[in-house]
Amino acid sequence: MELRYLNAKDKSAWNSLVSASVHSGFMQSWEWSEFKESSGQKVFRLGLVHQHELVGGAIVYGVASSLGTSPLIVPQGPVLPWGDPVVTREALGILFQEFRGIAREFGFPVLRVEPALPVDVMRDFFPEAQRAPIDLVPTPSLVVDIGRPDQDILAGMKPKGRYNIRLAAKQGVETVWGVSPDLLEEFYGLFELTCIRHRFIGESLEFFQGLVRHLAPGRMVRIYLSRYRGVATSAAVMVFYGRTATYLYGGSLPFFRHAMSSYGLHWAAMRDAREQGCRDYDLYGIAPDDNPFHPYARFTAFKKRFGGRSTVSAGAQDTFFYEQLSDLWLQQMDAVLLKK
Amino acid sequence: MAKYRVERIADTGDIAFYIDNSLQLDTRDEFVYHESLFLPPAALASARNSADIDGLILGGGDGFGLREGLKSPRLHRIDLVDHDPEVIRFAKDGLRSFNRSSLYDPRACVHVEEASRFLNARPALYDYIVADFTFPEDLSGCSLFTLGFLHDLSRRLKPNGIVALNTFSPERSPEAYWSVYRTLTRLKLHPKPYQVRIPSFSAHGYGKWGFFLASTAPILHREVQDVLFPEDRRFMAGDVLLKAMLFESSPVFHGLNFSRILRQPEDLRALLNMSGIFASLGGADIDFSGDILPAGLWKYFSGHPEYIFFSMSAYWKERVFNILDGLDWNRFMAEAEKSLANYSRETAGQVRAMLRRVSRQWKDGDFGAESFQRAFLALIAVIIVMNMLCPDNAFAKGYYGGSHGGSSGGEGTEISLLAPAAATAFYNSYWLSSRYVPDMAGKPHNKMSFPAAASFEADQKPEQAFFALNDTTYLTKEGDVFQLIAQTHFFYRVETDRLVLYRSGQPAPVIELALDNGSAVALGKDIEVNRKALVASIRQFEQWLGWSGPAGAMVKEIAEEKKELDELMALQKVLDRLHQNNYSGSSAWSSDVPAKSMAPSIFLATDGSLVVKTADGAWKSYVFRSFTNVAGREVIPSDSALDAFFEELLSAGVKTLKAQDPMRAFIMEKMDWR
Repeated sequence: MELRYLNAKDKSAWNSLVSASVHSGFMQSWEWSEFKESSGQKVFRLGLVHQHELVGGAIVYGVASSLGTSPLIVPQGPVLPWGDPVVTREALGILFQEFRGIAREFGFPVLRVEPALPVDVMRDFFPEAQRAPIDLVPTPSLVVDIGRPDQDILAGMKPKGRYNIRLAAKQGVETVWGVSPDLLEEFYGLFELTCIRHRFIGESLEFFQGLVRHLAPGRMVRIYLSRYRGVATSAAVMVFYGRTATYLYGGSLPFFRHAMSSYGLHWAAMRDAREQGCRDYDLYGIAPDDNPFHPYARFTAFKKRFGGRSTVSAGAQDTFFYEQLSDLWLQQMDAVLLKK
Repeated sequence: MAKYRVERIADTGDIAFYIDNSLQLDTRDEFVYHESLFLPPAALASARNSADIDGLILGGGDGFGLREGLKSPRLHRIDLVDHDPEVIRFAKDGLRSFNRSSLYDPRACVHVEEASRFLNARPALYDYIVADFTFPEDLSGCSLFTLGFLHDLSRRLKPNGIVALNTFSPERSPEAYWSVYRTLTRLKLHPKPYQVRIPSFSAHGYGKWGFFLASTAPILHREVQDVLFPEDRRFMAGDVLLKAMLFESSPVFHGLNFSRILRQPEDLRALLNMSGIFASLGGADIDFSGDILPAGLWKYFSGHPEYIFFSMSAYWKERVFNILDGLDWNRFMAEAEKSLANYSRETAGQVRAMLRRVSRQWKDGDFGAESFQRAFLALIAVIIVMNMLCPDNAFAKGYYGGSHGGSSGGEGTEISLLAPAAATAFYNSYWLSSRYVPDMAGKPHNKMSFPAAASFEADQKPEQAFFALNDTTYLTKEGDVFQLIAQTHFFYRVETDRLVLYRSGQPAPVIELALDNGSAVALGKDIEVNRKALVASIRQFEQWLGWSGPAGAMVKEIAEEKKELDELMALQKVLDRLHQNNYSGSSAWSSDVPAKSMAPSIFLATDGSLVVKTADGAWKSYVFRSFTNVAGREVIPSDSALDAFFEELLSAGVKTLKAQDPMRAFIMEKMDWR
């Protein structure tokens, strides 16, 4: 097995590998890496080749901050045959050698990986890593199985969820989708309002424009917008990759709550995602059961009405590069501590 | 053409002077402003020079600042440049008794000219320059705070010269205030932010007023400490200036994203001026190049252990310590030892000595030793900065939230580095909303019943809230605003200048408390944001109804929708009316009492007493269970409803505090809870 840096010709093979892995996701897609690259991140596309076949790898992101320090991150990766420990260990050995080289060259003091693995498997493969202070992907999450007929999906929901979906339909909530600038602008109006009302700091319109620009050609993104009596009442940005549709961003109007348009919107998005071949609808983060004060608690009740299974992964794991960490620390010590 | 207005203040002979309805000065307290802006640069410039000094005042045609500048005993010459001849005429005549004829002083030279033109046309250099411009209301005004203008200004400074700027309120316009900070650092100047409360400004809702001192050479703590101010002054003094340089809260506390303020390492210095950070180290907090804690550490983080360990959000505190616990210290030390080959012999020797001490102290658990703290802080700084300044760290999808800790997408997580005032262990909007706002339906918990404003005295008529302004604030159809206090059966009715505490289902108010400026302004913004969205929605709805055609009225369904429209219109009326209210809060807001916020205007003081800020602006203690009146404040008479309130509030609070949190243990002990 050998490592090589992937180029544009490898895009299709890489995407096939990533989209087939249940332990990975859209953040390892070629398109997402181009989106991130366009926003100024350093991107390293590492492939592992065995007998001329791409068998694994990792797209690695680094943020060039003005301080020269940031973690080297591998969200939803590395992409490896985790079920084959022998191959995976060999692959990890090769990848880590390269990670260390990148860290040394650019001064990254820590590597943060987050393949979707259970805790014991993660510990087994990353014995030296420790739980990162911030995850790259929210965990736990809630995933609705949409690879079923409508009535089965509805049957899996809480009664209130089903009721509200039907109520939205009865009230005449209509959902449209697409990737047009007009739709994006309408989404953004609702998103911005929601951020202000709930005291979130939201991404800029330019961020979403970049997201659509890079993901839309590969049919990886859609904006959904629900209207009630002609008024845009709720909206969402969904990302599609492999078998999973991910509810990445959303916003809603504080008026016409009785129309239950958010329920109508997600129901339409679920059905559309199924049409596109997705089998999982990831509601992207819920509060853990044992933490009623978790920031997600407020939205968890809403999400849980759609049913679904709770998925828990080990979360992001940090491996320190002691050479770079001690360098940074010494720079600090030298810069000031020692100059009295 | 600017509009000038002078208001005479009855009896005292004082005046208030406005330009374009913006208060410029009130002669009753103008000395606070003018001494704050003009005396420090003149005094510092004098201290830095053995010869007589030259000063330049840009703006300030009213002559008040000039009056202060002329107090300097070593003043040689002072140029005053103001573009407005009308102001200067008025100052020479109508304000002469107030500005002590400063404009006629032979040392003063008055130029009626645009400041930018003056700076570019004259080759003269000055020991200090004061920019005393009015609050910018347009592009022209803003141009006086740009990089280009301040660059021109700094070129007119002698080496080590001092600049003083009148800017904005760091409370009310934090983004603008800190952007001036950034601009000054871009010019390689060392800015010293400071803020002063000016009573007349506060009364107009302007908040604490912000200034900057700046110089090519850092303005050191000892300079400020030793500076000599003229005898003839009423407000400014060395200790007053030092205190003014302490910011009791960071810009982050005022709703700004950490990363939006901190664009470069030097920006972190802004945070160093927060109170308490360096108190135990002799107040070196304003000394950027000082000698107690390293500038390099400052460059990355405001690193006093008290600050890091007690004000950092619980989330980060836990995680940083987890990281430190998990580090392989032997490898870390071994790598450091290897890298020392790249350092000078002297440095390497010092580091080795420190590493030995740190290693021993780590083993002995001696975390209090100074060398350990220093080494430790440097490492914490690296770890935290590394995490915070990586914009993709929160879920890797976009940017992360700052003050209120929310990543967007409707689902944030608490990743604030610094705990914002509104998210202390007690008063956290997330848990505030978690019980009473169980879903997105926008209605509070059905246990809550709000009295209608008109029926407080008469029979109570519970009123259903019909609109959620934000996660904790609700409106009734009568236009009353209620803010819930989660996990309790109490809520506030929010009036324009106060908070009235009620117990659910009880018509009689429990107590009237102060409404702080920040909350009041935030409420005003929420009203405006919702109002705008509503107006746009009504327009869309009406357009849709229009399409239903002339037969619309005949159809029952359409008639229902018109009814719906009427309801929206009713909400619009409420929001319009609230929009007219000037939610300014208490102008007498003060942070004299160091305390943790438990709920708006209710605190657990660091002296261990329960303290409230009442509607009349007074800090009062409430003696309850084993909570005593430690500081000898005025005591609120005992009251069964207040007892019940504090019982519920403290009970809710301890549930959110971690078992090892000393505050939890303290409350448990005081309440005799086991």
